[in-house]
Amino acid sequence: MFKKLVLFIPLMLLTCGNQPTSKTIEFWQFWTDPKAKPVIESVVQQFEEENPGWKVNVTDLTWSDGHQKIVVAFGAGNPPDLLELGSDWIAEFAAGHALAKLDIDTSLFMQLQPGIYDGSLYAQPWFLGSRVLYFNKSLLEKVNSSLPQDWPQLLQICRAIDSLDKDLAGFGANLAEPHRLYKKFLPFVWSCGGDIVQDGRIVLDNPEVLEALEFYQKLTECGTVEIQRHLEDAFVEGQIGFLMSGGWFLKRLEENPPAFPYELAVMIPAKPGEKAYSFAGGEYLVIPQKSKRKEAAKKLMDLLVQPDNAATLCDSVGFGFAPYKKRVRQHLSSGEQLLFEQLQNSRSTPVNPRWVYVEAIIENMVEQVTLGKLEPDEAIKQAQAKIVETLKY
Amino acid sequence: MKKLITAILIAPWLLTLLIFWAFPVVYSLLLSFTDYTVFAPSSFVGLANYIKLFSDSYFLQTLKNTAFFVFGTIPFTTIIALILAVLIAEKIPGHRLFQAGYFIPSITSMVVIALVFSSLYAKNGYLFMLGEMIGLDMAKNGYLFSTKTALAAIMVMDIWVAVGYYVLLFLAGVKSIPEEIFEAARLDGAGFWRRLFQVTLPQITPMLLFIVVINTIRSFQIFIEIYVMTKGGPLGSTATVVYFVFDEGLQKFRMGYASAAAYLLFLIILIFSLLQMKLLSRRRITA
Repeated sequence: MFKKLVLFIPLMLLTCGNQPTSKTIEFWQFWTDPKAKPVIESVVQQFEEENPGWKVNVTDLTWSDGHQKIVVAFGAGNPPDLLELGSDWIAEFAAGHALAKLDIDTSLFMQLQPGIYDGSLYAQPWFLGSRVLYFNKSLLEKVNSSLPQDWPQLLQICRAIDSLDKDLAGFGANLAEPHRLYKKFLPFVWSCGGDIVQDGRIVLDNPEVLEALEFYQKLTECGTVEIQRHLEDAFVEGQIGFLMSGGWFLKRLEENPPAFPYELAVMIPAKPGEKAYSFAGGEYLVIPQKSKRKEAAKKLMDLLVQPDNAATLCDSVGFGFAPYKKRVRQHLSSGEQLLFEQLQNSRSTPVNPRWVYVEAIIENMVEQVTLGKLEPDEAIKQAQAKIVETLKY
Repeated sequence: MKKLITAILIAPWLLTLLIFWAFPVVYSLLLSFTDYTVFAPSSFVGLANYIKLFSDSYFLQTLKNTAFFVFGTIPFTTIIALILAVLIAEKIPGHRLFQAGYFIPSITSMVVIALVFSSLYAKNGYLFMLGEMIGLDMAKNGYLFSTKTALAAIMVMDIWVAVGYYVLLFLAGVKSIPEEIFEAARLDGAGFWRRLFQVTLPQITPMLLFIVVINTIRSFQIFIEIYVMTKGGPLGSTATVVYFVFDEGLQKFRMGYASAAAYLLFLIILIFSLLQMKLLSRRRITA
């Protein structure tokens, strides 16, 4: 009780003068983009008009410290009524019994998996996105290649590009970027038929993880390693052959076309003709268990994810997709169509309440190999030992 | 009545101090003896968090990195700042311009500086390319992506940022020395270095002590640069103790464990500060 009081005092001080009434919904969300904000405000206005007497108090969070604020609010027993969460945070809150179970028509939506914990649905998908391969066509032409069909071909082309010039790299690989590196590595595991979740447990020491890690190591050897922002800059400058990125990068390229031709491609499978997967990221809406206005919050949630409203949000920011299996936006550019196609073959962060520890172990494993500190098999062995120790298997 | 007005005027500051400084300080000490993780109920664990820290290889690595950072930056920052301050005090041509120029990094946002240096240290960044030209080619993908160079690169940036502030402090110390002493030294034929070591330094020992102590405290608390530039990577080679506290407390929400690490850092800083004060004040007496 004392701890709750301690956490509550700063929150109370921060919000004093703006005390919610019993008919005020507290809605915490991350859309601060000046183009997206009016969309959120118009949905809120629509809700208030359709539900006379109800008010919605929208609080903006930022990705840099939003997670901390949310956890502190839950810890103080004073969470909002409706809340936006990143797909990889849901399990942590669901496992802490902090979220209310949701009853929605699951047949309509894509990427529900991050919201399901212990067989129950806790989160409503709102905004989805995936990553595809961007490639520099002129560099491919210089090495007399067309789009690769499998991993050996991809590696061959990347090596050829890398040997063209000291300033050119075949592949843009992420490194030293927590919370992002695993999103770039796991698609390789999935694309060679593997998974890191087996019978509900995280298992890294399996042949597919080894194959993916060995391949990622080879790619980085004929590529450049950097943080995502710098990799995208380098691609725009024509220095990288292949780069994995999302819809935001397509928007950037369309708004400021580079001086060379580029194209997008779905992920390359390990073997020709097999399925290749990418990483699906997304924003989800949840209703905290302690909310006293669950019914009204659910109404607002339904309104926010209504096909038109969700699609308008995507249009306003210029990328991303409404979470429906059936395409909501009719007019997509060829790049967006490809991103949508990839989204159908994308997977999200594995559901684990201690994912923050798991991702750090995976990223450390990839870095050990990429920086030449450990061989892939030894890195996997050590990572698995850490998984067993951390998750107490 | 006067006392009441004083109390009313001082109350906002006092309340802020008590709520946002004194209370967290005491409360985090209490937390360091618990296994508090925000979501789960907590229990008293005694000294377990402190004991665990000494067997936590990641914490020990952050301790080593922090020590390397502190001992690798303080001598350079202090010596460079002292020499620059003395040169400015000697009124070399353009000394006012230099004085303002050195101070600019100190008043610029550390986040902005860190972002700029991230680009300069990148594979195609100017500093990286310059380094390659003079033979510093030990990092294939930019200085921040090698375990050998990442921390050193941040240290170089930190020295560049911090020097200006200490130049000002040293300058204040140097200017407080009576000009007659310098004139007498000059008449006795003392050159620049002799004046520096036999006149300036003994006279500004209190300022030197102050600078070394605050520089030590600041260096032990290094965080923003790490958070913006490397997030502790690659492979934890740039993770410092404060970054560890942030990661454990605000990323993993092991508040008890993070509080213990924070208090351990506090103890280390306290011991170092006391040692420095004792050592330098003894030298002052000797001088």
